[in-house]
Order: sequence, then structure tokens, then C-alpha cells
Amino acid sequence: MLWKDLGLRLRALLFRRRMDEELQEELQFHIQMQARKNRRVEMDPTEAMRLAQLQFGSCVCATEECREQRGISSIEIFAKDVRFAFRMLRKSPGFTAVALLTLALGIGANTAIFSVVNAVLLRPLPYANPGQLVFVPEAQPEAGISGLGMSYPTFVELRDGNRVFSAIASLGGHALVLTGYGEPSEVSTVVVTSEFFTVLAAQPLLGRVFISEDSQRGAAPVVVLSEILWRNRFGADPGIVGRSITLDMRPYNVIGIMPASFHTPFLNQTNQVWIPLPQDPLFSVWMTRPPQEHWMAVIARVRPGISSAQVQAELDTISSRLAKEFPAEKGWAIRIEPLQQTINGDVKLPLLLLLGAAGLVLLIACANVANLLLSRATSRSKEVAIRIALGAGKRRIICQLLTECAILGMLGGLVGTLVAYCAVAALVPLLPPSLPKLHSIRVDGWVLVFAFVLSLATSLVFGLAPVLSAAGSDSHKELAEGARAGESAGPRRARAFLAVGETVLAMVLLTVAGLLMRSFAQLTSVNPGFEPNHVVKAMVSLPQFQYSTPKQWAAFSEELMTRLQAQPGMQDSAVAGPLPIGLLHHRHLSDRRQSIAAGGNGRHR
Amino acid sequence: MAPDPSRLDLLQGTLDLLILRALRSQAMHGWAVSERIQQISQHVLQVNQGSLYPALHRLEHRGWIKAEWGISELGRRARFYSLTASGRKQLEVEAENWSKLSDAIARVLRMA
Repeated sequence: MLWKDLGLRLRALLFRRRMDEELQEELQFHIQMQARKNRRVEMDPTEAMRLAQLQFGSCVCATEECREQRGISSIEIFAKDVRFAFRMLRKSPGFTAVALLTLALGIGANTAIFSVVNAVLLRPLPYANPGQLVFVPEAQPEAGISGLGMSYPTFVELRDGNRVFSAIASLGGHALVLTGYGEPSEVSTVVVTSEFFTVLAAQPLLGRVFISEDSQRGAAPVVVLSEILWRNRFGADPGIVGRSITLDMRPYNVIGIMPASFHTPFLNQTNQVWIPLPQDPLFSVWMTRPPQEHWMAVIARVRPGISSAQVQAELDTISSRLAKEFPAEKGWAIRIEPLQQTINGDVKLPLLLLLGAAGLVLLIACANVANLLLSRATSRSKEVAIRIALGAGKRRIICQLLTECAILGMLGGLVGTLVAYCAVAALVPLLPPSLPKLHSIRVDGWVLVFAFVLSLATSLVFGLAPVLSAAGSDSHKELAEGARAGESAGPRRARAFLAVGETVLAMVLLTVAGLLMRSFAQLTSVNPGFEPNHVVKAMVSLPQFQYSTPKQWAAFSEELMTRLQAQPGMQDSAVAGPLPIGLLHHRHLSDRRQSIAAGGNGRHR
Repeated sequence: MAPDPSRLDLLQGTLDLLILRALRSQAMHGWAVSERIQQISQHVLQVNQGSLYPALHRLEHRGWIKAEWGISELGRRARFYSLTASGRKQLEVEAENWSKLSDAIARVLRMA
């Protein structure tokens, strides 16, 4: 019934002219039939026609009533309101431009920040069944330590002794030097245990991923390449699989290529390789370190249907077993937390704060536009009063004013989405690369839905006060007062209220922004204890195999220093590892680049 | 025209019933519907033309009657209305209601 009704209404709307013509034809036919009947009672034809028309009554009224029965009015009225709204906006281009710009900035800022929030916080991790993925840290509640990694013996105990994980793996990152195939360059190297790709349920683009045999001691060194590296460095040659490449002067056999859509948790880079832990020149020697050294970041996939409480119970059993085996492990507990939570970690609060700030900006924009509308409503109150006097219902007036607001809001949203589109493109390169899922930040369908809903909600917020004040006005008084250009008390109060609210919100934003600026200024003006001007730095990485002992590093640095000193324009130079006020450890997954930083303390003469 | 005391204005809502009844046996155009109602009621019931067409359109909208263009006795195009299946059912319901109502009113008038 509803569909049929809608169909009839739609037909009435689309074929309005034809239906009107048919209706006229039908009514004319009736009048002619009546005239013919009248003629039969001996009447002259003109008189018969006149009488027939009289008998019929008002044709216009009947037509109007028939139209009403067809039920087109509501859609037609809406279409009329929309046309009228556009006309009103065109009539005052200054007002329209200011209002649109204000709204576009407010909605644009919110949409841009939301696209970051959506990508980083709301969208699930880009792996199959991401809800099953957990981060497995170790903690010592008594000492207040949490979120640390684990030792290799602990990892082995956990991997072989648990019944709750379908797969478990560790990952760590540093850089190795890739030679051959062009210029030597550093590649981001992810050192993983054999089940790493199984945990993330990732499939290679070409070749295969690691199997447990690859992690056995004495196995041939193997490597998996990222698609980007494969394309940039090896010209997307599929024949590379099965050949060997040189990392830190040591040959690794390429066994597979991971697609560009695969992202390593915590350590996402485009030019990336993955190698098994026992074959890594740096971390492999750490495998024999005792359980109290917490260096491995461990992720796992929980078996389907197992609750986190069951997992925790199992982990507690394993912890107590470990504590018996290794007394130094006493007091340490293995924990789990959703991988998504670990990855989002520190960014959640700042992002939500940013969204809140953008929301305040939008509220200020709303107040501004509401104020503009209110001051315009004063000049339009006479028009409204006349329309009410001519018989327009309050509901019609409210509907029409709301339509105007909605059109304004939607146009603002449209421009705002364009603003957001540009803002996101400009924002992404500025964001810290450590931000998780940076690559997936874009204006997508959900962001568009957000912008649409936001625009509608915005129009309601800024339209409410002007619409209510227009509808609440007394038409007689307005008409009487019409000559005087005064403003009645209602709108004046509303405008004062809006101005106060706006100022309050702006003060809040200013204060917060001021505090942030001050913190930043204080950070940059901290006395580092040295004279940072005219100092340049350079970073040097040395292949592990050539330079594996501190003695070799020292020899290299001495040679480097001698040659640097010989350069003109250099006052002094030094080697340090790491540099003062450098980025040291990013949680447990520090970039353990075994590098020598040469701090050239060279004052230009 | 001066109002004719022998003619009655239709009660609100009864026009629909009369239209449905008039269309029961055959399809006809609007003018024929009004003529038929007047003839059968021996000119007691006067169909106001201004409300006949809105009523026809309303009934069509509700799906009780359907309209088709046909050729009339004048040789001109005219809109012919006919009952649909649900219109037939509606006619039964309304006729039933009407006879109940008129019986009740007649009984009250007799007793009072």
C-alpha cells in the first residue's frame, strides 16, 4: 500500500502537467454532457452551456480538490521551498558567502579530523579476524612495570606450552644495508619468528612465507621482500624469487614477496624486508640471553571461541611454571591486550582531543551563522508577518525556514568536504610517521556519511534560534511595528545569548591553544647543556659482519674522525651513540639500529 | 439556482458508497455516475459536481476504483471508472455499515 501510494505520488509529481490536462479534459467532458442534457429540455445551445457551467460550479475549486486528493502537495511544497531557499541565498550573496565560508571551515575541519579518527581508531586492523589478534607483553605489577617484551626462553616456553593461541610470533626491527642491484642502501628489516605471517593470516604476492624449518639453526638464510622494494629495487622481476640478495654482505635467498597491502604492525615501512630471527646478525645473538631480559615484542592470534579470561588463566599457569624454572622471573606475569589497543596506544587521547577542539570550532561557526540569520530575520520579520496575515500556517513558515537552513548547511557541508579533502592530502605528510595506519587515512564513504550527518545536524543547531524566533513573533505587532526598523526583545535576547556563548567557546579554545603553544615554546627553549648552533650531524650505519666488535667500531670512528678533521670549514668533530636528546626508545620496539652517529661539532670559521 | 426542498444534500461519507454502488455493474464516466445516482434516487439525492470528481480521484487513489480512457457516447474521449476487487469488498463493508446505521436510526425514530 505504501509503495503504491508512493508510486502514485511520484507519478503525480513527474507527470503533473499531463495529469492536469487530463483532469481538465475530464471536467470539460462533464460540462458538455450536462449541456447536451440541458439542450434536450429545449434550451438554446449557449444557454444550455452556461447553465451547465453554473450547475457544475467552480472548475478551479474542483481541480484544486482533485489535486489535493492525488496527494502531491507535500512533495510539491518541498520542491517549492527548496527553490525559494536558493532564490533567497542568491539574493543576498554577501550573507551567503560569509555563512558558507564559516560553515565550510567548521565542517571541513571536523571532517578532516574525523577521517584521521576513522582510519586510526574506528577502522579495524587490516588483517583477517582482527579481533583475535593480541599483543602479549610481560609485566611486573609489584614494581609497576607493564608493557615490556619477553626473553627468547620465555617466548619458547609460551609458544610450545600454550593451548590458547593458534599462532604466536615475535617481531623486532632495525636496518640492514642492501648491496648489489644499484646503490647500497639501508632497508627497514623486520626480524620475525617463523609464525609471524600465520598470526596475521597474510598471504604472499609471490613465492612463500616463512616455515618453521627456516628458523632452525643452520638453515639457509632466507628473506621476504615488500612489494614496493621489489618494484623499486628489482624492477618487479618475478625471477627474483629463488635468487639471493646481499644484506650486510651476507647472501639471503629470496623466498617471497609480500603485497603492498600488507602492513607490519608497529614497524610499517614501504621499503621493507622480513628475515627469520636466527638469521639476523643483531638479534640472533640475543636469543641466548636469560629470561630477565625483556626484548622481544610478541603478538599472537587467539583460537576462536576462547575468552580472554581463559587466555589469561593459561598465561598465569605458564608464568608460575616459568617462575619455578627461572627464579629471576618471579613476580613477572604474561598479559594480553587487544592488538588494536596497543597499536593505537598513545594516539587515542590526542586524536579525541583534536576532534573535540574541531567540534568547538564548529559550534562557534554555528553560533556565528545563527547570529547572521537572526540579524537577517529582523529584516525579514515583515515578510513573515505578511505571509502569516495572508493565511500561511506557522508550520509552513517553520518548514520553509528550516529548508533554507538545511540548504545552507548542505552547501556548507559540500564546500566543507572539499576543504577536508584538501586538508587530508596536506595533513598526512605532516603527521608523525609513528601514527598507526597512516597510509589508510583518506576521505572514504564513512567520512562522507559523517560529513552529511554533521551538515544536517549543524543546520538544525544554527537554524533553531532564528526559526523559533521567527515563528514565535506576533504577526499583528510585526505589521504594526513594520515601519519602525526596531528589533523586538526575543531575537535581541537570543543574539546576546549567542554572542556570550560564542565568546565563552572561543576563550576555551584560545586558552587550550595558548597552553599548548607555551608547552611547545618551553620545550624548544630548554637549555640542552650544549651550544646547538652551527652543529651538523650525520648518521653512519656499519654492516654487522664487517664491524661486529667494539674494537672495529672504534677503529672505524678514528679513521672517520681523522678524515673529517682534514676537511676545511670543520672546527671539531665527535662520534656519539646515541646523540644527545635523540629519539631513544619507542616503547619496547626501539629502532635498535646498530649505528655510529658522527656528531660533527664543526663551527664554520 | 434556488435550493429545491425535495432534494437532499448527501451526508458526509455517503458519496463514496453511492459511487461504488453505481459502478458495481458496469464501468462509466463521471457524468454518468452522477446521472445514475440521481435517476435511481428519483432525483432525491443531488450529487454536488464539485465534490464528485475529488471523490472519484480519492477512491482511485485508495485503489477501490480504477480509471481508463475510453470513447463515450458523444464520440469523445472520456475517463471510465470501474470497480476493482478491493473496491468490491469495500462496497460490501460500507453497504453493510450503512444498512445497520439506517436500521438503527429508523428504530430510534419509531420508538421515540
